[in-house]
Formats: sequence, C-alpha cells, structure tokens
Amino acid sequence: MNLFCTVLTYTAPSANYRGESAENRAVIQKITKGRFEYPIISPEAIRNALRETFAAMDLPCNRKRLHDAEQLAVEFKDYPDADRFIDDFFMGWLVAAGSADRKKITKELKEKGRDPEKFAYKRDSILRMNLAVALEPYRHNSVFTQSPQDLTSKEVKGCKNTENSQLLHREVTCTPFQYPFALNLKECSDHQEWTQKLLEAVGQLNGVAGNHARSYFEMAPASLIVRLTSKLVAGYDTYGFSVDDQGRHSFQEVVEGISQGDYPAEEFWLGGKLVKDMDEQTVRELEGKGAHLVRNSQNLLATVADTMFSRS
Amino acid sequence: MLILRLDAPFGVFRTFTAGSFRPTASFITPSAAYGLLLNIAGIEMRHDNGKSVATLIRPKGLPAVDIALGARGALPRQQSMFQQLHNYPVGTSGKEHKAAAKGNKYNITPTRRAFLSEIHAYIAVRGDEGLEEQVTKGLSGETARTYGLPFMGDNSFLPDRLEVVEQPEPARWYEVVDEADEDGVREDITRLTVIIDRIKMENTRSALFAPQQIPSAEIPERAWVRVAY
Repeated sequence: MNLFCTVLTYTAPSANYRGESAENRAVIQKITKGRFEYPIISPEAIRNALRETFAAMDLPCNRKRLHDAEQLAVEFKDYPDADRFIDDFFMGWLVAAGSADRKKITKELKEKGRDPEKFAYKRDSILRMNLAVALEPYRHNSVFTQSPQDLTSKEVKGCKNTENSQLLHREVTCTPFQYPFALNLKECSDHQEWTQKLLEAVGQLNGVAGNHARSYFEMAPASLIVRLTSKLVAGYDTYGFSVDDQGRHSFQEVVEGISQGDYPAEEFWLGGKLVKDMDEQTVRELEGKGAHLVRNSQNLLATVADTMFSRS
Repeated sequence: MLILRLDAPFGVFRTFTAGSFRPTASFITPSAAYGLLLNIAGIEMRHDNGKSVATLIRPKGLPAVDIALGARGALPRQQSMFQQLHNYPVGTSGKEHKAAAKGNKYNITPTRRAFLSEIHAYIAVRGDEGLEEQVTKGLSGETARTYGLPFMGDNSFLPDRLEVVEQPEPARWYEVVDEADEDGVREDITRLTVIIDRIKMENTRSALFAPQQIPSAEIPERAWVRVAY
C-alpha cells in the first residue's frame, strides 16, 4: 500500500525562501509556468523543517543544524542508524566511503557495539516529497526597508556587521503553497509509530525555509487530499489544488473524478478547508460513494495514521 | 512492445557533473527510462561491491531492451533553483565539520540546480516480454518490491501518472541524429545518455537525438535505441 498526499497551506505573505541576492534585493525563488513566475520552496527546506519538528516532538534525531557556526553546518550524533533515529529512517543517507574508509568505519562500529554487517552505506529516502509551488504568480511586490547604522562605541564591541545604514529590498508574495509527498507503506512497516508521528509532524509543520522573524509562514495544511492505493503513482495531478476569488479551496480533478467513477472513492481522504468549502450536495455525493471527508486537516491525518497499516 | 504514458510535474536527469552548476538533460534519457522501467518492475539494478564510493550497476542479469522516447505536446521547460548543497568538497573546505558529520556530506556550498518541469512523455520498450509483463504488474501493485516509489531522476520528483497505453496519441519521438541525416540540421538536438558507468566513464554511451518536428502516432525506427548492460 502506498500513500500519496497533497498539502495546501493557508494564504499569507511570505519572503522566506531566498535565492541569490541581486545587489541589495533579496530574491524569492521561482519557476515559470505558462506566462508567469511562481514562487517555490524546495523539498530539502521542508525536510529540514520536518527534522526540526521531530526534534521538537522529542523523537530521536541523528542530524541537527549548528546555528552558531561560521558557515552553514550540521552535525550527527552517530553513523546513520534507521532503527535508532527517525530522521535516518525517513530521510535516508549517503556515506560515500571507499575501501580504506570502510575499514575505519567498520572498526568504529564494532567499538560501539554495532554490527557492521547490518550497516548500509546508502539508504534511499522513504519519504518522497516534491517542490512546494505557489498558487498565485509572483506579482513583483517588494518591501523596502532600512537597517540602522550601528553607532555602538568600539569600547563596547569592536566588531560590527556593517558600518553604515543599509537599504534593503525584499521580494514578497501573498499566496498559499501546495506540495505533494508520498510513502511506500511497506517500507514504513518496521516503524509504524514513527510513520504516524511523521503525519502528525506534517500536520503542524512550521519553520520551513527560515526568515520567520520577519516573514512568519506556516506550512501546516489548510486543506489536503490523501490517497491510499496499491498503485505506484497518485494517478492525478498532484498539484491540483486551486483557490478561487472568494478564497474557496477546490481539487476539481479528484472531486469530479470520484463523482464520475474515475477513481475508487474509498481510497481517498479529503480534509480541511477543502471540505468546509464544499456544498452539502457534493459532500453527500462523495461520502455516498465511499470517500472519507474530515473537516479538520490534523484530524484527517490522525484518521489516516490510524488506518493506513490495516488496509491491504 | 509496451508503451507507457508518463506525466510528471518535475524531473531531473543529470549529466556527469561537478561544480556549482548542476545541469540536466533536456528530456528523460534512455538510461533514466530504463532505470524507471526496472524500478516499476521491481528489478534491482544497483550494486555495491564494497569498495566503491559510487553506486554501481549490477554486472549481470539485467534485461536488454530497445527503448524509444516521445514528447507529448510541448517539450519540458528548463528551470533552476539556488540551494545550499551538502557535499564532499574537493580540497579542504569545511574540513572542520568532517568529524561531526560521521561520514555524511560535511560541506555546505551554494549551488544552482537545473531541473525540468511539465514532462509529458511516452516510453516505449520492446525486446523482453518478461520485463513488459513485470512492468504491467508493477504498475498495478501486483509485484513484491523493495524499491521505494518510482521517481524522476531525483527522489523528490515523483511522476503523477504512469499508465500503459495501447495506442499512443501522436507524439514527437526522439530520433537518433547522425551525420548522414537527410533532414539537414534538426531543431532541439540534444545529447542523451543511453547506458552509464559511474566508475569507468569510457563505458558510458550517449547519442545525439532530436524530436520529430511533426508529431507521429507511429514510432519511427530511428527512435529505437538498444539499452543493454
């Protein structure tokens, strides 16, 4: 059984996934679709936030960011161990080691009481997660701010970031983002409780891509759609959410597809604002076909977490 | 012969690259299509000889097939993304973090990564009916597998649709271009890898391809390439 899910966030201003700066302009990263550019957030940024969410949930994590190093840096508690660390289990790893390094690592593993025969140098990520893409194109909005000149006496502190006041352009966008993720549940079966925790973490995801002091943006789902299926692909446009002028959420391809019998209704869970925005007739029709509708996104993830391993 | 319809919002098919720009081929390559087919069929093609830092290809027992690739509608777009890439650096960058990374990539450096969007393709395969059957079963979840989910060159990039089609719609099939090409200079010529060897680069084989200018429902013979390890 495989799980496919698309998450749609709420609409809010954001400026928290920057690419290269153009002089004093902080640039949001974008892709081109049709005639417009749409802001994006990378799956790597979302995955890093998931690791930090796991840590905040007191789950055992191997990797953590060092926030006070001279450059971006991470450190690990130990060599990767999918049975000991939840982030290793879901995110996988690569330890690129040739013969000489493997001998050294084997020796270290033995000294730590680990079985080198059970150690793998590579492991695929069980969690598959795609780019988050904005629903609204970038409208060339930016805010113009100014950082103050630091006039602190050199006797107090000799080092300053800059001597002078700085003028700053910051590109901003006001849009929801949608992103799909997927799990092969057979690969998750050794750690079912961790898999349930993963869905719980998705339900309260925050802190993606940084800059939250100035641009707080929650990645938690406002709406979401889940499919549990034995098929290897979702079978629909995984970026299929749309938001109309009144702010209503819809996922037309699947909702219509279930109504028309294109999709097996019992494989689908729809939740959050998507359900709240549906008219009563559509709700009755979808439920009558066997789809699962839950008004609260976190409750939907909890429901899926409770049932996903019992379906065959 | 088996024809798969493939739709993916994003994908990446890296050429052999080091450095701060990570390019992608302009279309799914025959080597990547072959890997995707084996993934769907649940056939493991990766190999670890216990010595190499790179992922090797299983030396024996892999099916030999012909593959043809077609683009439905517009060709994919090239996009790029600026990221902080974790890597093993050449030289001494980040060496102070090596011990703390416990064998993982210990250096972080700005990189621009190219990728494709809006991939709408056909993958046609012939020459091994057993593989075709395994692919068909794999797509409907009838094959026991320990291979994760199919992905488009990067495990973040998932296909939306993979379906067997009996008769493809007209598509622009990628034909092998050679010096004696009677059509003159072709548009959208691109180099695609056919087989790869990450250790001995001289064993990697690629060819120049160009999509037909006029879509065709029939697969031209010049679109077929042999993929055999």
